[in-house]
Amino acid sequence: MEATKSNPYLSESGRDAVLTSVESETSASRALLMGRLREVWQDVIDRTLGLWLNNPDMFDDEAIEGPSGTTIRLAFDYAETLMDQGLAPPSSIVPDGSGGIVFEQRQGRDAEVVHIWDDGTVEFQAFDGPKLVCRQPF
Amino acid sequence: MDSGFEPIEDDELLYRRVPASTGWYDGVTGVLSPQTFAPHKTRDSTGLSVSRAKYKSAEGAGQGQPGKSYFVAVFRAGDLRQRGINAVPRPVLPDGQIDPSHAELPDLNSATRRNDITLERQRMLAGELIMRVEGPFSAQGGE
Repeated sequence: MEATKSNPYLSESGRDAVLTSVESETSASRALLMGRLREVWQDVIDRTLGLWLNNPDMFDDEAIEGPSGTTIRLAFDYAETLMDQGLAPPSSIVPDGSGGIVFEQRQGRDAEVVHIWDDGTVEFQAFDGPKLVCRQPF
Repeated sequence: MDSGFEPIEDDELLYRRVPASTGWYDGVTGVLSPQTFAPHKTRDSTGLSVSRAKYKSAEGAGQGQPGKSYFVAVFRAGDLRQRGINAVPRPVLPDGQIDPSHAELPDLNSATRRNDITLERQRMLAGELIMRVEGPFSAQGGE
């Protein structure tokens, strides 16, 4: 399925949007903005991936399978990549209940997802409301 | 006398339990994650488990592991069927015990969990079809 819309996880548009607003600013202001973005990212990561890694039994529910340490570390790598690209942190990072992890960025009724499946496969998915409009390896 | 084997009527309410630890329900924004309705890779071989409000209260549906908290997502069977998602009674549990409240959504199952239509149905359930989320409820020994 071909991409039919831009997305902050695949295109440069997200980063460009950030840079456009700061190109006219001093480099110090830009560094400050990026630093603050990293702080927000780090907070999101600490409350999810970091928490899960340090508390492997927190999903000890008969219907939930939490992500493994390997999957969590893979998610850390992807989070670092997205953060280094200057992209905004996702609206949520949650387990998928079968050992995988889902990063989701929501904008109104639309959503863009990076899904790390339990087998290590990583996908990008874009939704227009409930309709899947793009799905491809990430 | 009904015993959980009778068909689920369109106007019946159904409950889906949401463990608070997952973050699937954001109590601040009121947003419910589609992962709430993601079939497990092995345990949902016949369909995603839900509870019939006819036989169980929301608080009862929100019971699980001792010491854990759960929310309960509420939806109407007829609304699901209008979008191609069926709900069927499954009062006989895998261990042979009888739970009249147990039902399943057979269109969301382990074998098809990664299919496009399943991902879309999950999003429909979490977005357009959900009536409300109740709780949190704290497990008091499980049911």
